[in-house]
Amino acid sequence: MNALILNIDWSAMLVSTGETLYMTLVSAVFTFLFGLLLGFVLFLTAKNGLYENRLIYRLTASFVNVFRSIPFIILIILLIPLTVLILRTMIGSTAALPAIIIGSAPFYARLVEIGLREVDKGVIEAAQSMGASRWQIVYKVFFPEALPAIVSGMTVTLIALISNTAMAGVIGAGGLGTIAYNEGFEANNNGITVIATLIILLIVFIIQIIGDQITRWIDKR
Amino acid sequence: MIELIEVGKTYETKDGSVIALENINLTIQNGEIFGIIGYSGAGKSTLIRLINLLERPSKGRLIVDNRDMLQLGERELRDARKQIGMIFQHFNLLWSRNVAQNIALPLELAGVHHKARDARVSELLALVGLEGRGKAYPSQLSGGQKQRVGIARALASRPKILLCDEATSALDPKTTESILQLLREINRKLGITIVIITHEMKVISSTCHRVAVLDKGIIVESGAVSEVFGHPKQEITREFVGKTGLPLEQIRKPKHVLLRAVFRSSTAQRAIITELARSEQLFGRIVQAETFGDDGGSIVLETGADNEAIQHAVAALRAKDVLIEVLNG
Ligand SMILES: Nc1ncnc2c1ncn2[C@@H]1O[C@H](COP(=O)(O)OP(=O)(O)OP(=O)(O)O)[C@@H](O)[C@H]1O
Ligand SMILES: [Mg+2]
Repeated sequence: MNALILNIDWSAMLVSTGETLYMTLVSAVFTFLFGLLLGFVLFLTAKNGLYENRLIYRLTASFVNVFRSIPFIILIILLIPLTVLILRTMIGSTAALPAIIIGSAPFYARLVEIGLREVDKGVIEAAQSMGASRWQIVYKVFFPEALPAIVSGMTVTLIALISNTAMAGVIGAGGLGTIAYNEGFEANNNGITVIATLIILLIVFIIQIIGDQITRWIDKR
Repeated sequence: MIELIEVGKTYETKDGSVIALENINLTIQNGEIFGIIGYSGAGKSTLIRLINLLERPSKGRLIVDNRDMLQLGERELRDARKQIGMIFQHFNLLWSRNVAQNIALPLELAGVHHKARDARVSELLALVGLEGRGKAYPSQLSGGQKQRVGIARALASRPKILLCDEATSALDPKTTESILQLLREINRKLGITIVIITHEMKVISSTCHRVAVLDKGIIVESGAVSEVFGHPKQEITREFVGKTGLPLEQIRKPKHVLLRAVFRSSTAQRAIITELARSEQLFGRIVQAETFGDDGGSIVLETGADNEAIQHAVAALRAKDVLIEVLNG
């Protein structure tokens, strides 16, 4: 065990952890925003939805289904032209962001949609009977009533998203995935792979605990 | 005043159309408690949901407080709905909001300033007997308390009409009675018109002034409660009359005439006792008795009196606002 630890460049490990956290944090913010938007659009424009609209529903649903089905590693490659166009680079942590976001947002959108579908119809009816407008129903009823599902869905998504950052690492995004692959696997230094894994697990656990805590705190059912 | 004129409602489903309501003509006066009774699937919920247009009729006209509801635009309809409160069988409270916030919701929707909102919420909490429970969440309340919150919320924007769709059907008899008492009180104090949908005869007899009997989408009988249940014309109405208190089958086979007398005031109650005391022949034995509300109740008597004496007593009691009917023969 001592030998393992001695062979590790801790400052490189720290930099990699920082990169992973950076990728996670930035893509989490965008995934949350896009996923929430897509989830609401899916739910509200669906048949018998508050803003029923076949065309928008079809388009959104196809987008979500397509990008949710593409394996992440292929998605990264497919998105290289887009990444270059937006960010003018195809390597580094920032370059991995579009793929991570586009890979995670549709997943989160489905979770948001499911959460919204679970909101009691009776409550919507009650709001309508009070003379609420459609928009008021969205932000005064659907959003707060589905909030625990929106938060716990984000926890689940974040964990999937971290695994995507690690995978992106393999093709040069930096972060714990890169260090585990380059310094650990390629250089046959298993200590590094183990430590990188432990750090990722730690991040996942912390996110899970915080997510569960917030969900419990807002869930008054 | 609520007027339904030749209203019909047909649902289009995959397996063809379902006629939920047919040719409904109904006028509900300001300030009265109007009951609609019927079996499951009769169209009660459909009917009450037409009044605030949660459901749009397939034909006919709907006038509420001199407004032709079917001509209203979206915004006007929303404003009209603020004048019509509604409570539900399963309460339909937002579990993400506490009691005070639930009650404040209609006020928020109407853009009432938060100071005025808080004041109104305290008033309403007192009205429904939930002082001090404003910070509790719905999940921490009993069914009866939840319905009190529902009532407070429905009354928040000072509506002229309160619609109750099976508002007591999820509650035990004692809680049911306390909620009905609250509704009677609200009707008396605030003069709000109340429409009650129910399948329980007891709700009608203890609380409503007038009643309509709904059977398979058609109103088969309607009028003052004492009229309709005193002289039921339809078989279904007779079935409902037999449903206050214990099922009549459980009464030991009567040798003589069974009379049910329902009273809803202490005056009516006194009239029954006076009548029984006056005519020794009339009194046989009490086979069933129950009370509801402060002064309401019913008794079923078995009497050996002759037909003439019975007719005489029945007429005398009806004149004193006692709802009376002969159950057998
Ligand atoms: N959205 C709908 N689509 C199709 N049919 C419907 C719909 N809503 C109600 N119905 C039908 O209309 C009829 C009346 O239903 P309604 O819910 O008004 O009955 P109800 O008297 O309230 O019954 P319950 O006491 O069970 O609540 C029923 O046959 C029902 O199947
Ligand atoms: Mg119903």
